[in-house]
Amino acid sequence: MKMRRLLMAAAIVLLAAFEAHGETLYVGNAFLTSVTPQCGKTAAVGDAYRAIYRPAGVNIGNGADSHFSLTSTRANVTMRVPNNSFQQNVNYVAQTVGSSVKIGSHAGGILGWTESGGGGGVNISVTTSLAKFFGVKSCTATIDVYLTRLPAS
Amino acid sequence: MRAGIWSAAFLCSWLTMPASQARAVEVWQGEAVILQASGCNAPANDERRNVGVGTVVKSVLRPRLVSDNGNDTRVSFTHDSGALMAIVLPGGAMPAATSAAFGATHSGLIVANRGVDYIGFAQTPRTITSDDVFVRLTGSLEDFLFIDGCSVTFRATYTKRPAE
Repeated sequence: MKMRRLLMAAAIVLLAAFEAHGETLYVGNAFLTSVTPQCGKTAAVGDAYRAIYRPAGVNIGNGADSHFSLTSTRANVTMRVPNNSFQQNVNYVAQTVGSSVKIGSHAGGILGWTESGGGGGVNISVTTSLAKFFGVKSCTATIDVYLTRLPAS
Repeated sequence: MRAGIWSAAFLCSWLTMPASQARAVEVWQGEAVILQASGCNAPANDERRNVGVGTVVKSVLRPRLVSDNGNDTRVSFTHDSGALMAIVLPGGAMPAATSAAFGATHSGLIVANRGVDYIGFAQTPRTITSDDVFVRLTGSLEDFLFIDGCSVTFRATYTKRPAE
């Protein structure tokens, strides 16, 4: 009996150690499906990015913050939701590196976030509407992205 | 009083500046080839983080003192559309100094104002102007793409991006 408890404790410790070192990432192609005129040259319908989604979760190795990163061939915007998940009516903080190596940081609102397949699924589809996209005032972009989980490393 | 004179002089010169002299940021876009790499091996099952000799990354060069580019030279590297590292060379210092690095890791995490050492940086021509179409940059830097301990040497060629 004592040995069984010991083995169970060891297994729990091993599992915790494994999870602490791993992280859970999803990757997918993100398309802009609508943008407001204020986006100007920064964003247009049909623009495509590689999305990396890192949902919050200590039990999946990702910690308390959620991250959503969009990279084109020459620019990046990475959004972070501190101590929360991406969802409607929550604000994000972000850093941008523009196509002319303009570097900036800003905060914006998540106006919509519809997610299916999350909570441990292999594939997650997301439709989201993000205010102040790429840090541009009054630029709201709607994004469709279908993400698939990367292998554990 | 002196400040007022300077302000008036600046305003006059700005008001009389022809539209053709309107300034903007000017950048050169190209590809950087990794010639040497150490400490860059990706963990198992994570090939997309792999950087080695022959890896090619998209790069944008924003040389200092060209049009409205400012006093610092900036260079960005984008790897496999998954990670982006932009380095700001203070005063365009070459061949060596510590840059300020910004961007995102392969895990989609934000990195801001991290000190990254670089050596052997050289651009051709030595002073880039708006009239240059083709330019080059070579050099070595540490923690490439925010991979801890990953040191690389690269050679990059760039073409001036047409004005939008």
